[in-house]
Amino acid sequence: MLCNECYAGFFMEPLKMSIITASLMLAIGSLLMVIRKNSSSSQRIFFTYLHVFALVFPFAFYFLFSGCQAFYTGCSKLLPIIYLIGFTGLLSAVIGSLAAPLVFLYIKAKSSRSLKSNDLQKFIETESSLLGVKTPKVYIIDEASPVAFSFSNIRPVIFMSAGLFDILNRREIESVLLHELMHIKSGTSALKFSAFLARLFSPLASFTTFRHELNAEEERADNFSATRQGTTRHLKSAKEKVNSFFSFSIQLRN
Amino acid sequence: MKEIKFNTDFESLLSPLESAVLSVLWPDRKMKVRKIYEQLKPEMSVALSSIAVILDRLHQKGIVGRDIETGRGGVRYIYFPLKDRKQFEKSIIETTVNSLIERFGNAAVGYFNERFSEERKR
Repeated sequence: MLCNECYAGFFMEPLKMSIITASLMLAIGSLLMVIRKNSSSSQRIFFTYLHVFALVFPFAFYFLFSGCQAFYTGCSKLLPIIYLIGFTGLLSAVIGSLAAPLVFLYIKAKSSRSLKSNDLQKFIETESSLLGVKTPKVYIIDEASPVAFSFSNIRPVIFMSAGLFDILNRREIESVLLHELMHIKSGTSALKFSAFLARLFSPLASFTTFRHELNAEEERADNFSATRQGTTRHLKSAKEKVNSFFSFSIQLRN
Repeated sequence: MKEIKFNTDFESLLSPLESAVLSVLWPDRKMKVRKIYEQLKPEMSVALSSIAVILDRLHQKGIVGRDIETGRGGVRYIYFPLKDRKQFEKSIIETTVNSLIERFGNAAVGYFNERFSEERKR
């Protein structure tokens, strides 16, 4: 059989075409589940990965079964090179995307110092156990810009910059910690990462910015912080101070 | 001899707020952001976050240094001047003269010689 017939023949086989169609339908269906308003964070994460998988699957399927045999390369000298670059690239992208957050965390933690405040540590332990999450380790980043973010990996971690402590008072710092604890509980970092992966691998995912989902997560974290403190005052003033820092920085730069 | 106020001396090189913050930190003080803010607050309308921004800029310019101090409520930066006022003035003159020589070469050197010999004659 001629090579071209071999490759074109792939599209003539009903079974193979059914598998590809089913996979694409699954990709669309899972994307709809991601953007559905009622989906929880964990459901969104699951459907994002399912979407990426279902979208990549037809390509892998075609590469493997397009020829007369798997990895059929007998017709062209160019094909082995294309396969090699394609598979190496895909493998690097997958491993790189999965390892990137771990490398980022390792580098950040290495250049940071752990929080040694007994008072704040007790506060975090109490609030974590009330919320039912593993007590996160708090790292202080040597940076004047007031930033805070969390990551729920094997052990949850919260990063806070030293600059945050310079401009916020105790109650405001606690409001930020409560906000981050809720993010750990909801797995927001995993949602952000899966959104990044989806945009990286799926052209269909670029139709959704995930903004609505991420805004909903922010709102939930804010509400939790305000509920625990019995007021929105501290979180509000913390946000105002942080915004004022960045707007003044931008003003000076211009 | 008329005393030259610090704030007007360096205004072309530093912003008024940078000058004000430096005037609090000199002579050789180690201070937290909040403490500097409290000293400046009665004199000018300024936000705590603005003082933090200015100190970070001065740190990036290499004019002030900072250490992290751990306390009960977390951590705080302690800022301190890296040069005293005289050293700072000297470094500014040095930078200015160097950039003039770099830009105008022999013309700048000739001009300085002329000015120095005039000064000596006086």
